[in-house]
Amino acid sequence: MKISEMMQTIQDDTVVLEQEEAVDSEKIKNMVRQRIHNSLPAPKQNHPFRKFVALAVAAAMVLSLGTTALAVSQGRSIAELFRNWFAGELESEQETMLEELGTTDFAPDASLSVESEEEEPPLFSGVTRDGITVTPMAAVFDGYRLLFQVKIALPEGEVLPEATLDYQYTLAVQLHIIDQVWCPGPVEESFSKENCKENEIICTQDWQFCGEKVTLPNTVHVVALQVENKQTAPIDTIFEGEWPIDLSGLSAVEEVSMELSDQSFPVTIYNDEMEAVVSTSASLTHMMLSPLTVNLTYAYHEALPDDIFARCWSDLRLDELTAVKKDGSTIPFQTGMADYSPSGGSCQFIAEQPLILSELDYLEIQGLRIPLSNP
Amino acid sequence: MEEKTLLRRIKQGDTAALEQVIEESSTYIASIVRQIIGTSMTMQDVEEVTADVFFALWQQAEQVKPGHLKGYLGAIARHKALNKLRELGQTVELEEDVLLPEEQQPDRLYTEKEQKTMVEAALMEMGQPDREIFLRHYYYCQSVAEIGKRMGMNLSTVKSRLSRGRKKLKKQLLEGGFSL
Repeated sequence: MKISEMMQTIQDDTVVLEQEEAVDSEKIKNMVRQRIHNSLPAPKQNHPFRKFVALAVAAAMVLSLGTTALAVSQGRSIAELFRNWFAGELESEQETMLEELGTTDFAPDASLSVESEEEEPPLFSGVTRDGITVTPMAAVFDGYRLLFQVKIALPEGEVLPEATLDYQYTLAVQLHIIDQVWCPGPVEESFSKENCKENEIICTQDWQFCGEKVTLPNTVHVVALQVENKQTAPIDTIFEGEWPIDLSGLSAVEEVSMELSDQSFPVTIYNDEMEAVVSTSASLTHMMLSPLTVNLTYAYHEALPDDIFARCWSDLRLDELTAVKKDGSTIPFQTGMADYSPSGGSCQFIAEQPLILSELDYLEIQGLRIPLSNP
Repeated sequence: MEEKTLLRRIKQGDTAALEQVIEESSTYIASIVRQIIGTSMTMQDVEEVTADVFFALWQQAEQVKPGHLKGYLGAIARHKALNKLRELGQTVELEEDVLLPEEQQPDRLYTEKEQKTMVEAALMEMGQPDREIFLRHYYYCQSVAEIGKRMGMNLSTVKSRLSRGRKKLKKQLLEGGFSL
């Protein structure tokens, strides 16, 4: 037994080796592109490389959209503002769907505005406190998922650098979901400097609410921006305070809810060592489909031991849900949040594109088909 | 772009996200590769191995937990560089690398997870600068002379600190049930 062989069981990122000569990253990119290209099998649907091409085309297509009917924030439509959060090329109906679900039209918090009956309300350009301005750009909400984008501006002369692997921001936001005691944070967030000045940065957050439809409050509060510098380790608070943003323009849309029967599938539950512990079966019992998400509920045919999830690393994993459209094309999903118990559970799936129900034929998962009736 | 967003997009097949990781990490990865394969290969070899590391990320992105990308890339770089050396019939010479001769195997084979726990516990117990010296030598395969030069220490100091580190690792192994 060698020490150097034992060391391969760990991953170190603490030692900073001397970097005497920078490599040509463009050359490395080309070499990796070639490897990806060489790894491609014969043309096949949904291959990563093809998907990348589709993404690039989609970005170009979205940029070329010039319709004035779309709601815009700083000259950009909702589809454009959230384009990184969807895969592939969006159809015009899907962009319209995002417009219907979302808003770029935010009002100032009533307590902050100086109103005059004779004057038109001023264009809302954000809430400024202590020299820091938080401006909502856009939000999209379907009852189960909230995409929320704000621009943050420090006072002129200060600098908010680009986020990198070693320099990562976190935006703390208080979102008190009505009728829910526990309020989760965003599942994902990203920071961008696109169209920003030196002192500005844009944050997009993706909030996902598994299982039950939620009601948003009228106001969300941006409370702090922090940054973690992985080279120097400490987490630094850039600002703290309270910047209220009005969300009253958003409300959940009607979703499609469907009781299911005769949708039985085998289940295997694994322990930490990936050994099968339980082999049983379950049935899908309920489906809820909204424009951005699908929630599936299932029940085991026989209840599992009470301590099963203390012994096993997770519940069954329902994955690879696909929506098949009437024209035969498909929309994939990512696995989202899950809630589980010995008797059953629910899984949330995040659509990679907005769903237009009238265009969908069926959902497919674990070899099962869930037909969708036309609304 | 945040690391978890980058990983999500790489999993989705977005090469732009992969290229951002290459842009930000290629020099770091190349420095690990160069450290291990040393002067026995050309810059072209270093670049080839570096490209292999990012291609591995493309293929295995679902295995990487957000917040652990740098460590993952470093471990893959180390693994691939050592493999490259083996392909050429070369090895790296490390101080007293053999803890247990092949003919003297432990009573049972320890899982990778058990070994990882013991190595991490030993590293934790070492403290600085012994931990960094130990990692530079046994993880990044840096020679004693190179460590001395980089950390401003003489050879005997580096060697004695490595010896202390080996003792701490042996202690963990004994506590974990190995008979050395």
